[in-house]
Amino acid sequence: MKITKLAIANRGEVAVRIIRACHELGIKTVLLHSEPDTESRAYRLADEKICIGPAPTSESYLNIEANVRGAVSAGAQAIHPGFGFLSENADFAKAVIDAGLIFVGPKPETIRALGDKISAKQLIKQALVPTVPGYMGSDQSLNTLISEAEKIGFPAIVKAAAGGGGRGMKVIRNRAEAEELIASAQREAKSAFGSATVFLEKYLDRAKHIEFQVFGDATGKCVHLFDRECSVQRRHQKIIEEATSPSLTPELRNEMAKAAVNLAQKAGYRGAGTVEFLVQDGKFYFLEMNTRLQVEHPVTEMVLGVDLVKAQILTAADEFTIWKQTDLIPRGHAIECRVYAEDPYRAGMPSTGKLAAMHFPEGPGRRFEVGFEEGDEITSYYDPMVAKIIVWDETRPRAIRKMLRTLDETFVFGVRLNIPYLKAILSNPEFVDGTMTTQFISKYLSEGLSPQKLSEEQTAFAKLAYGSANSTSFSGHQVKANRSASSPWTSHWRLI
Amino acid sequence: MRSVTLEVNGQTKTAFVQKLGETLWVHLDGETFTYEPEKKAGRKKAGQSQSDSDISAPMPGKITKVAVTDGAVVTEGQLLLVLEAMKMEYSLKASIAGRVKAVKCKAGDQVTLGQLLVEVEPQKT
Repeated sequence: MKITKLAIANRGEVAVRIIRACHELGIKTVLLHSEPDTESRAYRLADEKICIGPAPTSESYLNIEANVRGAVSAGAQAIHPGFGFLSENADFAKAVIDAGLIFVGPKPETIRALGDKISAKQLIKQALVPTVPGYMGSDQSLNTLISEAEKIGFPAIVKAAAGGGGRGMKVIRNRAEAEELIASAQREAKSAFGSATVFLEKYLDRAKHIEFQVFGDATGKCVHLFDRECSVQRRHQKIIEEATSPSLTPELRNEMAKAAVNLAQKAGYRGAGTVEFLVQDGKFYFLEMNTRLQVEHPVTEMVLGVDLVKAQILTAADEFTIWKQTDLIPRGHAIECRVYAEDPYRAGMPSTGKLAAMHFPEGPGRRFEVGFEEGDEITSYYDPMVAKIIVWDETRPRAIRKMLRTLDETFVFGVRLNIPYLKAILSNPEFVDGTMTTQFISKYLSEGLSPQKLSEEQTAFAKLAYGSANSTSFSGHQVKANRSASSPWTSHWRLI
Repeated sequence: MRSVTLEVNGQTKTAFVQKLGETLWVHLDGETFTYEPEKKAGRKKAGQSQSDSDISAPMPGKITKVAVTDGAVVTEGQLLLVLEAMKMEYSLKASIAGRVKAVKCKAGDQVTLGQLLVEVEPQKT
C-alpha cells in the first residue's frame, strides 16, 4: 500500500528523525504529541499535529487508543512508533492494524514472540543460540522470585519482561537486598511498560555488550548490518555506542552475525531489529531482541552508508528490496554520545529548565540529532536526553579525537549537560584501548565527576564579562543546590 | 548568547556568554561554567529556614511511595520516600537518626522543586 501520510507516535529527536525521512520520501507527517510538547522541534517540523493527551506518558504517549484515534482522524495510512513508549507493544501494533493502518515494524505476533523476553528465550533455544542461566517462569510471586534468585546465585539481575532501555532492571548482590530490589523492579516495570512481569538471570560481571542490527524485508529475507558495541552503560542505560565493536575477532563476529540472522529468519522478522548479546571470555550469550529501531541506529548508518528509517518505512509499504548481504561492508568507525540534561558535577542529577542557548558545531563527519530548539524547555516529565552526537572517521582513534573536539565546541546555556562526563569516558585508557566492559562506569565513574573548580583565568574572564553581559528575558530554572553538596539523596537515584 | 573577546592576564580570550537572571553562563576553551558575583551577606535563600535533617524535593516529580509515618523512629540512611521524575526513581533517605515529626506528602502527590516533604528531628539521647 502506498503511504502518503504517516503518523509519528513519539517525541524528541527520534520524531525529528522520522519526519526528515518522510519528507525525503515525499510523505506528509502527523505528529501525535502530548500537551507540553508543542515546544519542540518535531512539533515545528511536522505537517500536521494532533494532541493525544496531557504530559504524563500513561495518558499520552502510552495511550494506545488515543494514538490510533489521532492517526485515523488525520487520515494517515501508517504509524511509526519510534523507540521506547509503544514501539515494542504488540497490542499497539495490533490496534494499529485493526484500525486499517500500517504499523511500521514487525507483525504483532513477531513482537509478542520476540519482544517479550520470556518467549524470545524459548525461540532462541530452538535457534540453538547460547543463553545466560536464569528464571523466566510465570509464577511472579515475590517468594518464588527470591528463591529462584538464590538458586541462580548472586550477583543476579532482575529485568522487566516487556522492557528495554534499562528500565526496571536491577543487580541483586545478595539475599538481603533481593526483596526490595525485585519489588522495585516490578513497580518500575509496571510504570514504564504497563506490565509488572520480570525475569531473573545470572549477572555476568565483566561482559561486553555487543549487538547486531538485523533487517527483514516483506518476503521474509533477513540480513545483518554488523555490530555495535554499547558496553559503556550507567545503571544499564547506554551512554556511548560505536560501530563496529573494537573487540570482536572476525570468527566471533561471523558466528554472532549468523546467530542473529538465524533468529530473525526463524521469527519471520520484518523491518529493523536488534539482537543483543553479552560477550565474556570469547563466548557470547543472547541478551534480548529489540523489535524496533534503536536509539544508537545512527552509528550503523554511518559505517554502512544506509538509511534505516527510510528502509523501515519503505518495507512497511512493500516497496523495499533488501540490501544484498555481500554489499554491506562497514567502513571506518562511528561513535555516538548521548547528551543528557544533567549535572556531571553533582552525581548526574537531572537538570531541568529552558534551553536559553544551544550550539552544535557542524563539521565533516559530525551529525547532530536534536529534539529541541533554543527557548524550548527540558521538563521532568520525560527522559533527559537533549541530543545525540554522532561522528564518523576513518579509524577508531580518529573518531575518538573528533568526538572530543566536537564536544569541546558544543554547549547549551540554561541547562547543565553531561559533556564533561562524556569527555572523561572518551579519555579513559580502558575506553581508548577498547577493552571496556559493562562494568566500566561503576569501575571508574559511578559517582560522576568531582565538583567543578573554576580556574583563576575562568573567574577573571567571567568577572570582566559579567558587567558587559546584559540579562536576557530567559529565566534559568536549572536545579540549584539549596543544600550542601553532601545532601543524602543525590547519590541514591536510579533509572526506572 | 553572544561572543565576547577580553584580555585576561595579558592573554586575549574569546568566549560565548549569556546572563540568565543573576547567573552568567560562559563557554570558554571547551568548558561551560556559570558565574555569580559574591552574595550580599545576610541574604537568605529559599529553603534555608528548614533544618538540615528535613527532606525536600530535589526536583519536581511524583511521590510513588511513602515508607514512614508521623512519629516513626528512623535510622540514618533509612528509606523515607520514593520520588519519580524524568523516568527515574529517587530514594530519599534520612540524613540523620531521629524521629519523623511530620510527613508532608502522600503517594501520588505531584511535588515542586524544594517542596518540604518530611520533617525529621534529631533523636534526643
